[in-house]
Amino acid sequence: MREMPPDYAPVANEGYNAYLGSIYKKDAPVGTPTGHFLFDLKPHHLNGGGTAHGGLIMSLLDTSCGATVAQLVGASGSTVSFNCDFLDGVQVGARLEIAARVTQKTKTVAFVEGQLMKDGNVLATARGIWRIFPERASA
Amino acid sequence: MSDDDLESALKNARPPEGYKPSRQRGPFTSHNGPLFYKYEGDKLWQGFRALERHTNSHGILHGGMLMAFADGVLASAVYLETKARAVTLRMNSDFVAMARPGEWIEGTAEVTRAGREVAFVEGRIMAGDRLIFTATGVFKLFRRDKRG
Amino acid sequence: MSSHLKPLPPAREVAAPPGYEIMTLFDPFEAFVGPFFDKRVPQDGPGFDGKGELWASFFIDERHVNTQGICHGGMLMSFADATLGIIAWRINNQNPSVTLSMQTNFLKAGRIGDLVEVRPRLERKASGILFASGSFEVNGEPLFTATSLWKLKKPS
Repeated sequence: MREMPPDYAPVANEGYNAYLGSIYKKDAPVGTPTGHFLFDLKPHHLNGGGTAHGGLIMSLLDTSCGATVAQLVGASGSTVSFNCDFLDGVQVGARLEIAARVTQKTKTVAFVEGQLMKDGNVLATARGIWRIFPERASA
Repeated sequence: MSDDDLESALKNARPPEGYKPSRQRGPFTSHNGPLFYKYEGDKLWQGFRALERHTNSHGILHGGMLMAFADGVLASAVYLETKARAVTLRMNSDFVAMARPGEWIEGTAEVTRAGREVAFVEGRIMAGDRLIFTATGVFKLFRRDKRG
Repeated sequence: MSSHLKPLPPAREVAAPPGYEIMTLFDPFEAFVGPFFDKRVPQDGPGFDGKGELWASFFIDERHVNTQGICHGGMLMSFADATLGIIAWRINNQNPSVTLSMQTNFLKAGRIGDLVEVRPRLERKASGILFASGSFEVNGEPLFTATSLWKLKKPS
């Protein structure tokens, strides 16, 4: 297994995310509206056809988009709505990249877009709306 | 809308430079718009002038108008990419910000993947430099060379 | 037919709630986050295939929650992909299908011990395309909703 780059660290690495396997997030200061993530696909993430399960793909995009909201506002929010399109399948052994971007933020909600890629090819895209809790936010 | 009314509406819309009227649209779109288009390289932009009749009771641009416009923006991008007749299977909409009458509303879309049977497309709609709406769509393709 | 697929044991043993049986799973990821449960209840309606209303469920446990003890959205979406996929799988004569698109809304927080139940609904099957949706409930209260679009693959 390839090592993760030094400027990446596990994100939201408890409970469900820890159970799935770590998603690594690239360091970025609070207030940054974009996030970059890496994840290594293992056999227990697959469906019966031998490609990544749709539920796993949505889990990765949900966590990555949510972590990008948290990075922007300085506190975690919660997913209100999440939509995912599945463009292509991906097989075990792959290192997946996820790029997420907050496109709009108000006091109480954030709109986020995410792309899941392998070797630069987009495999899934997602858009979601997060609720922000202004009393928790630090930025 | 009669031809005279359409011509007058096209004139009153005061499109920004580069936009030309879309005259070949279906009755629904001509009546709602009128719409304009321009190319930036290969990229097609479509636009319309937001009017009172496009608003809701809050005086802001109606969500239904935005979705109807967006559906056409997505469909045009799919056609330009695939040259296939296509119908919308789904469109998902995010209402990112408000727009008001008087503003020029314009949108463009990109096909993220086109297979034999379906195409995925993403679009965005702006009011000036403000992003007001995003949509993703899945279209079913009817390719002429496909059997069965 | 994918009859060569072997049923997989779920990652942990959890007793099925009354009326339900443990769902047979073929996807490693579903076995990893499962078990799931299912039942057919003809009294509730004919179901998508005339064999009685299909119900599916799972218990939220500590593997499924985030730091606040709330069920992770990813887990609910995984369960939605699995259970709406049952319809695609059955309608397509147990040939594979792929999720093209899924839209979800998170209405409430799910907590450890909650039984999340859904009656997956077939909205329409067109040529090669299927629409399915579900309202996911805890004690009859909506927790999460999903609509989905599937591409039905032909037998290889």
